[in-house]
Amino acid sequence: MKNIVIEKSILKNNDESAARNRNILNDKGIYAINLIGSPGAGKTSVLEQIICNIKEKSHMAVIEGDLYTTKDAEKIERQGVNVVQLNTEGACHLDATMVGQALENIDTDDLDFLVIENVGNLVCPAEFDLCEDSKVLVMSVTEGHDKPLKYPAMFQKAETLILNKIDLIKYTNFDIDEFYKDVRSLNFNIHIFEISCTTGEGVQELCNYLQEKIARKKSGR
Amino acid sequence: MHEVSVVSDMLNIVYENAESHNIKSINKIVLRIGEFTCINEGSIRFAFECLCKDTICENALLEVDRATGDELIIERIEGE
Repeated sequence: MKNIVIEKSILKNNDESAARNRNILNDKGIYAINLIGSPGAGKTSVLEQIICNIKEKSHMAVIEGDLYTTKDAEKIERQGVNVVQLNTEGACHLDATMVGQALENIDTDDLDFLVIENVGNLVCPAEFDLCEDSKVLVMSVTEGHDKPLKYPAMFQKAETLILNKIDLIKYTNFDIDEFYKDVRSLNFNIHIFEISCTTGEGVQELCNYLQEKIARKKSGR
Repeated sequence: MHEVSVVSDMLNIVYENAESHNIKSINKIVLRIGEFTCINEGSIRFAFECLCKDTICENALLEVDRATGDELIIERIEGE
């Protein structure tokens, strides 16, 4: 009988792929975000707002994760941004190898900002590092203020939280004080932006914040 | 939901180690899984049962040590 001590991360293959992707992005000073959140939270709507605001100032590209369709990628393409579609054929998350393949189809030489829109899911994407500098979590007030404690991993691992559909809060029983308290108990330093993609509220503040991150990465600070 | 990909990655690590240590049959695999991972132990066991059929892990016992953080570790294997 042999007893072999391994003590390795089970996801080491993914982590190694993520490190390879990260080297490419870091060499060229490209700031990358992993946009995560449940289906219908408004990830694509938020992304469209970000594109409108940022595409004139920074060169950006998008990797669109989706189970089966190209619907979101078509929306992004209409905005004149370089986009690569990844269909997971039913898998619940993107992994770093898929993102590596997508990166081969993106001209990274002149790029400042990469957005990876993950599959809509509030559980699995938390586990898989893709290469991002930051996980940006989108949730909407219509999902209810209890979600942070029910899906803690996502809220713990995100650096930025976008609370979307804030214009609808008056029609819901969303308890914003409870929400902030729960989120801070999981992740004290998370940056929170309250926005509405319909009225445009809060979008400028979010984009200023991202623009500063993009500039900081480019200058190597 | 993603336990199948986790188990599949875990088995690849087991096979690599079995080959380099000349192990022909695995008796035990010990994992350490933190409570802040989104990993369901029942789903891990179901995926393991499905994926290890007709492999050197077919008769292996899967032991899961619980931890408090977000660990997702393969601790050790036993075999001969």
